[in-house]
Amino acid sequence: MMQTIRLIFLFIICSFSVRAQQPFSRDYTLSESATPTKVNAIVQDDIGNIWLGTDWGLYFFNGQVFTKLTDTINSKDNSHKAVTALASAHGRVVVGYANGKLAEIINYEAIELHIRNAKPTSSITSISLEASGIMFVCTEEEGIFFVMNNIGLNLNSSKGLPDNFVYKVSVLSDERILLGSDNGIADIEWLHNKTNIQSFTSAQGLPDNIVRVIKSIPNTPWYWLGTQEKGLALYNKDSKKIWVPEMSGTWTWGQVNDIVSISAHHTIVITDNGYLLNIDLKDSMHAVVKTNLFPNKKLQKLLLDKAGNLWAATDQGLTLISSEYISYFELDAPYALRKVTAIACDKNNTLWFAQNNELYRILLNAPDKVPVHTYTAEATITSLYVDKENRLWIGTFGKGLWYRTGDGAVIRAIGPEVLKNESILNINGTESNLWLAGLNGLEELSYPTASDKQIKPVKHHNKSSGIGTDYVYELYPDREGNIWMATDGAGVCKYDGKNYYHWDFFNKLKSEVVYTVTEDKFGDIWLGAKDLYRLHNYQWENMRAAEITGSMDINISAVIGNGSGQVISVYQRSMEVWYPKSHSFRHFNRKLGLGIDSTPLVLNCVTSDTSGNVYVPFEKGIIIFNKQDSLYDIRPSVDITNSSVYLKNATRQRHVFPYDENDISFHFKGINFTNPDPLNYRYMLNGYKERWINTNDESVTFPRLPPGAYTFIVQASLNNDFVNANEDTYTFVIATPYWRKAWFIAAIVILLIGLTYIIILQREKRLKNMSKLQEERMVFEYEHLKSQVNPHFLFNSLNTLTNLIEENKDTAAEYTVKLADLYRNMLAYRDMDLIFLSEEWEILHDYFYIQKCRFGDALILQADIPEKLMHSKKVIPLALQLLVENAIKHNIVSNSYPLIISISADDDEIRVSNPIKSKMSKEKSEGIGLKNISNRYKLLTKKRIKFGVEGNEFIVILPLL
Amino acid sequence: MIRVRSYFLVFFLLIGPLSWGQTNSIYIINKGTVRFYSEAKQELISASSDQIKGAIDMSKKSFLFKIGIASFIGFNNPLQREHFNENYMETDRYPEATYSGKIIEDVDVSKNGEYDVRSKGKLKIHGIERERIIKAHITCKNGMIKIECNFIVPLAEHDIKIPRIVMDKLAPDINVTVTAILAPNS
Repeated sequence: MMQTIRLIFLFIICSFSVRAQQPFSRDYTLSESATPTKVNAIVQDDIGNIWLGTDWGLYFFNGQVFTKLTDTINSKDNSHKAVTALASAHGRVVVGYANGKLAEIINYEAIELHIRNAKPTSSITSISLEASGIMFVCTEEEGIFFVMNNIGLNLNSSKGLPDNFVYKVSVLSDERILLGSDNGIADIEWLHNKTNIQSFTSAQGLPDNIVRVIKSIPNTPWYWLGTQEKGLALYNKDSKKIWVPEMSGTWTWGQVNDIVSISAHHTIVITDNGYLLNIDLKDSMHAVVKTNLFPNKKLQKLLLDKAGNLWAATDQGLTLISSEYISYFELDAPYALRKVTAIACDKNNTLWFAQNNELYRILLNAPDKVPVHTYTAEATITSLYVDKENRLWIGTFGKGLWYRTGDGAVIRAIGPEVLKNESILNINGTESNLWLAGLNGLEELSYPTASDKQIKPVKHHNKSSGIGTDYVYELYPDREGNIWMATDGAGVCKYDGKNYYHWDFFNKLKSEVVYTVTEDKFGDIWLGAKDLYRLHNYQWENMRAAEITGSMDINISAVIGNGSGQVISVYQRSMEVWYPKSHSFRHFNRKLGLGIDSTPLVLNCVTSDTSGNVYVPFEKGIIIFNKQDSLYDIRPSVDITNSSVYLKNATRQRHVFPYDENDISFHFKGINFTNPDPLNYRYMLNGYKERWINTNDESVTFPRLPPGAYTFIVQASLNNDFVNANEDTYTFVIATPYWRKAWFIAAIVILLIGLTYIIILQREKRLKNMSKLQEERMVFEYEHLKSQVNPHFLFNSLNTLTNLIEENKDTAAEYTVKLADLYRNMLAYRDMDLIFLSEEWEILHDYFYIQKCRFGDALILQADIPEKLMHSKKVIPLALQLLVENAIKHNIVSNSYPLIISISADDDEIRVSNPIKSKMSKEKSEGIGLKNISNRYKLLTKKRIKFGVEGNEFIVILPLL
Repeated sequence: MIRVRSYFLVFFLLIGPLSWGQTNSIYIINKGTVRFYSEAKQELISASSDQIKGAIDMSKKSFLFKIGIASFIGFNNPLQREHFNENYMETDRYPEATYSGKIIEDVDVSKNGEYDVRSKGKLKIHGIERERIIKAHITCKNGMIKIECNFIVPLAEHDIKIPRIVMDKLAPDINVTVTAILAPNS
């Protein structure tokens, strides 16, 4: 009777203390006012931004803030802003709305896709983007649309679809898709331009006709089918068979809303009732379900981001779920973190932990983690170790060494006297020997055997034997058989069976205390001193040198590697995990908001199980750092969101700036779902200064950039270590002003050369002309002088003068004056190129006077020269005089045949004409008079003189200049 | 636009089958009751109406039900009914609630039997349409169909705002029970 009551009591206790492994989680609301917003869709784009579709529009999240996108597509009608579907693949993000519209996100803007031919008009349930560019759009009322190059084709129930309400499509191959509807699934194949639709409903073994989710299982031909009421089923695309694997009883977790397939075995399912199910598919027929409940939430959609975070879109916002990398199980009293003194895990995955004198065990493989009290020691248990034969070694404070055998008995180790009352700091072992760190140095011991319980000392190691100190906090045998020691007083020490090795780099730290030492999956040794060090390629490096150590706590208490090559280090108030591929730490502290704010107080109070999960006690129970199927990439990314010129926004598409728009700012945003601390950035402007500049700001301005081609590169890092950092680049050109462009300069140069050439040419021509003119003039002058001193002329003139002296003295005097004038003027003007018409007229007048005196009325000059031309026009000197002289020279001048010389002028030319009455005996003519005039005109102008016989007249036309 | 479209829907689904449907796959509500109750901290409110109209096309597995909001009676006091119509449901603007859609599971009307089915469709209350899955119990007997179902209407989903002052008197989720007997349209 009593026993029954006790059993019932125990049962009640057990049912109250059901402690399953569960993830840490954190809720986010999209708005600052913390009002719940239902999230309908969630995707992560290629850069890393998380996009969220809600009834009120589109948001994106970079790990820090939610930003609402201004809706330009549905601005008219509020009710249609609802985003019901999102898809991200192959560099594209496509949005589906409740009104059937589709948009693509380009540069943080939703640009409507205008679909031609068939386009959806009812609410979009899901979108699938293929590498080929085809987009599958599932709708509530119109079946499915295939969109290629914005041309849509519709497939609905009138063409053989089982139902018009289509939830989801999965692409099986190039010509085959699988879709889930309200009336089962349809396997659609295109063969020889024929659509072959094969439907599967409950008649074909489908547990439920409403199939809401279809998800491919990696590396298998299988697909998960998530239904509305009956949970999960599997579909084999090769055999076209549907079956339901055996799970933990009937489906009680509600409507399946989303599925994430992580590996062939591991699948995560979320439901409308708030359940997150971790499904371990053992084989095609059997699956084990581990459930976690998120009460009062509908889990709508699930996203696994690149950093390994699970993001559940809920009816209230967003929930971060950590189960891919960290989880925990709660432990009730008498568990208390402050009492935990040692922890170890055995080969059967039993977790042992000690609270002072008490030893407890937890079966890690059991769904409910309940600690069972196993043993009470005589003194505080300081160390636990499980050897190769699965014996649990128990080290105590002041009461020596004990061990628990396979049959459950705990016995005192029989061996050297020194073990009896030793205070044991740490126990570890190699294949052959057991190592014990105590207050008197190290004991290397033999293991007890079935026949011989006696433990024999192999070697005693202490300060004088070569360690350099008697105190060793942790012993670690590496894979090569060396024993590593974390010592107090001698730094880290390696013992290879013969010699002790030390490193003196600790001098720099002024500390010779190392608390913890371990080896990671790659064979690198890690140790925790005042900082965290790694021995990599024979070099110790401070792994936290790049971190902002000022704000972090440095009291490291344990370091341990897990099965995926990560290293977990435990500090006083935080923990961190080293991601070797990302070359970064993931921090777990209070700031993260997950509720991790306590760590064990005792050194090296961590352990790992057979599959490589690491266990660390904390306030509520035990934290598990999961061994991961794949190592996630926790590196933050950075996105150059826009550039601006003189603080005015330019778009990201702009890559060429005019030379006067050279004050360019770049704005970038970090995307980080890992650590709560602000990101560090560094940037460089290639083409300007090839040097990295570190910053915490999210914008940078380059004033007055010279013309040229540039590439702006920005990288983001969780710390100041930019090895393997993600980056974004922006290539742009500041245009060269036209006056600095090659073609322009070349043109100018050619022009100048041409001009110079022309000038030189002109000058040369002019000089040549001048010299020719000079020559001509000299000839002319010579000829002229010759003609003027022509004895005939002189003889005639003097004869005339003689006659005049006899007839009229006054006239003779005047004649003499005119003759003198004539000669003076001839002399004055002969070396000039041009003289005014008036001056020439004067010469002619003097000359004519002299001739008139000789010939009297037999010589008549008819002149008609407008007065205005006299002082404005020029002729070459002595031209008219020469022409008149010629006329007199060649024609008869007598009273019976008077010579009438006519001179008339207009604006352009002067005309000298006389009727021809040739002399019988010609005066000797050099014939050079006219030729000379003509040559001189040629040298001065393009205008030519004309002369010739016209009717009975000899005419000479001189151009007026 | 939306309203016009839904009226068309009503027209075709209701009037259409009634006037042109010559097959006996169409069943019309003979008698039915819609009842709702709100269970808040301070007050239990319930009301009902027997003015439900509707039809099911068993061959197409589609249905449409509608009810005039003003026909609900049985409130705790006349003022409450006035508030219900004027403040919450805005009956002038949105005089009807409708539910149209399809039945997921197969029902064989020709034989006597009972079925638990899911109906899936658009529930329109207060002018706001919501895609819902509502479970129903169907009893077929002698060519007649009896439908029983109950479901929850979250007021927030239909944009029905509750003043803070009546938070304790009005539940945010309203329970609705529908019973109807349908006979073939002859």
